[in-house]
Amino acid sequence: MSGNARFLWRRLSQFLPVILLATIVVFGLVQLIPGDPAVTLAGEFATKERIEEVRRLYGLDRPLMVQYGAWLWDALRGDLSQSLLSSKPVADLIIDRFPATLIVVVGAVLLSLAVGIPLGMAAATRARSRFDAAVMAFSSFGVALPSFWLAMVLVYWVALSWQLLPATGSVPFSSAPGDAIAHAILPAIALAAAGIAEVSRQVRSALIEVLASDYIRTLRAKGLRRWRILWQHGLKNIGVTLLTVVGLLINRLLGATVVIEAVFAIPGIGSLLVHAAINKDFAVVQGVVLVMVLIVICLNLIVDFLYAAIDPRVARG
Amino acid sequence: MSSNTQRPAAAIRRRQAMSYGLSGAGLAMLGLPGIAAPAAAQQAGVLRVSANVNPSTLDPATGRSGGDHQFLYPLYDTLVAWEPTTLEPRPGLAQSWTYKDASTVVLELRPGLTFHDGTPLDAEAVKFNLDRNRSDPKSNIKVDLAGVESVEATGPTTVTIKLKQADQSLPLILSDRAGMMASPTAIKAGGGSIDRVPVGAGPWKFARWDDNALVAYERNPTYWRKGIPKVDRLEMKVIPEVSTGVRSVIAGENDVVVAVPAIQKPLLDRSGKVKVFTTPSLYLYMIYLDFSKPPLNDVRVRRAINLAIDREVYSKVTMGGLGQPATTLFPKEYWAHDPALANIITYDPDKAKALLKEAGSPSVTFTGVAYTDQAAVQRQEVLMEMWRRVGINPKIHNASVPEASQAFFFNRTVNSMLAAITARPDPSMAPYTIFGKDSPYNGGHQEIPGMEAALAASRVGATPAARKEALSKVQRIALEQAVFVPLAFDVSIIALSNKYAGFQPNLLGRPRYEEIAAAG
Repeated sequence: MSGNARFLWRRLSQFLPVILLATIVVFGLVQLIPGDPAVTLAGEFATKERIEEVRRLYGLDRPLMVQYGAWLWDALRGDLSQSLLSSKPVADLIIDRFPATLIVVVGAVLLSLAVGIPLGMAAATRARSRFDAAVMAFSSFGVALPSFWLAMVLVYWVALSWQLLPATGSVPFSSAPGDAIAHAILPAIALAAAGIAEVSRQVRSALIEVLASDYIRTLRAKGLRRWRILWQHGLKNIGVTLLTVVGLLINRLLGATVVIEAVFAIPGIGSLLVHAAINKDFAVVQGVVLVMVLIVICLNLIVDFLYAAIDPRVARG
Repeated sequence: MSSNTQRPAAAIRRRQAMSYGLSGAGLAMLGLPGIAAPAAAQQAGVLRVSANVNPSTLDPATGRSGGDHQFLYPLYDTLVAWEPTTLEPRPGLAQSWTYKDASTVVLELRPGLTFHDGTPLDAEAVKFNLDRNRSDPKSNIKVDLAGVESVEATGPTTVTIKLKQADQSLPLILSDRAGMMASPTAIKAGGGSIDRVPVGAGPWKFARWDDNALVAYERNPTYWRKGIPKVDRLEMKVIPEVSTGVRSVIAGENDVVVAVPAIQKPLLDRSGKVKVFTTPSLYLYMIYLDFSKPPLNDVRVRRAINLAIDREVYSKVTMGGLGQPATTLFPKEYWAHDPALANIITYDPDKAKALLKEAGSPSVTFTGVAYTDQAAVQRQEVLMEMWRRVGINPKIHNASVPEASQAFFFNRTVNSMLAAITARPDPSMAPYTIFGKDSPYNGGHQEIPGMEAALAASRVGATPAARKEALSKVQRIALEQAVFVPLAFDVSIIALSNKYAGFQPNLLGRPRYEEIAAAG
């Protein structure tokens, strides 16, 4: 077995125990949420008898291990159970909601990279200049800026005052791509502010180190053009750093959509999770968190594979 | 009310231009032909409402939340209707009702009524619904019909309801969820459940429900009121963040926003793009007290708790001055309001201190539970500061609505609950709920001296004047015994786009949309 194959196998073999552990943690955490789902389901002024009836009806009176075992067995077969509130399959709810979240997250990632990389590169090539200081100040501001605040400022000016873009909602990309993109722009910008800052800072510091290395000096001495050194050799050599940042960025953005979806009334998985948590719809909370954990684990796996592809030394361990 | 400034067409064009441009870009990326129609054109004949909650169910019998009504009214007509500004009963599906004797009511239905699925809405259908509402294990409205002895279809369109005792409240009870008629065919086909596939006889038919996102309705072409509804399609978009809902209406993406907090009203007024309806409501913010346990089993302590509250300040701080300070069960605008009761628990901190001293301690502590939302926490903080000034120091924790109810009403682990009583169509329903000996929502879970007879009398009077007098007696007993703490009546704030007209606010604070039409 080659080094790369061994590396891949090692990573994949870690995959299942992590997922199993994640399901236990998710199930355990959900049980720790204060409150009784039977009380919520029975309504505001339900009697004790009605609550017990609801508890029996939804199987909430079974031992926790039995509930977990049944849920895991179904989840392994692709059945994430049904929403306690709507009786709809959780998998269907997630599939319905995920595209709205995805378009915003993808937009934010693209924006973070499209702005953050050139900004970081420009700062690195002018290290310790006024421009560099300005980029660093902007980055600090971007990291510190709460996304919901920026979202409301954007809505006030861009949507309400100038009326350039929609203030709320989302449209399925498949039915009206233009509307879908228009609805995703403001949320994506609000989410991307911190991403731009993070990417530009990481690119700058990694590139300053690379540009100071011997082989870059050699390339310069050979008379290679500045932009070629920067884009072809510099950028390639900060690939691992960039991949790490992108991986972390996507994970963080997935979490941050919970707030942004509330501000923009986007029916995505973030708002689905919030509503389910508030209403103690444990089945939905478990399903959504599990899917999010799976996405993060898969992303980390892809990043690991790309590490190995970019730098074979990683695979050799 | 705001001005009638129309939304600038240029703004719509700007958004459409952006959308067209992006459509082109998006399709180019996908390599797809054609271009999507602009959102505005797709929305013709559609009334878009920003609703603050997701319905708990679309079955009126199994509903679990007071927020459901706005989703139920489009689907279900009630046997009896009400006048929006007075809540007096008026004909609904039943064109008349007659008290044959004090405990027998005869309903005469309109002829030729049908449900959305074509099932006749006749006397048998009404009997089926009323029997289901008062006996089905899943029904959450059994208590509303607890006074009904039997229901009989005594003719094709005649229903005879026998009551356990003389009771004038039934007509208005039938204007609420208990009187919403659902198709027996659909209920039987659904194995007793129509939570997700509701079939009523209201102005709109059910189209779809995407949880926490959208409930959509389409015109019922066979609706018995000609020319109603005035809009073909109704879309209730669930936007729990009301400030987001407000922005969506100002931006022209929705046409109505409901349950607007007072603090958001100036934003709507300034926009010039909406008409803002600010209406008093029967919804009463109040504190439930467990008057059976120390220290609240002492009427002097309970009176001190009441007298320590400056309700003018409370209303100003927590409701932007738009709420109405409450010292009785009914607001000034309501026919059952009695101004003679207004001074029983007016603000008097010195007297509150004296009462505490008389009760044996200048400092009192009791436990309580309040809700977790920002406004509830603010209400709690204002009250605690007022109480602190006279020596009352409660320990209040916060919990979700069902959990708080469970802790106070059923587990009885706390002395008080800072909550509210929702608006009810008949004025006897609220006092029966919070003071009735057998009501699970009687905070003390015991009989209040003189209350049972007063409550029974409040449902017997044949004229509004007689009922008002009886209801005043009920309130006087409750206020003198200080078994509850009224705080303020909520104000219902609803904004409607200038593109529409015809909205009629009501005292229940529960919006109805069938009369709304495009502005001429």
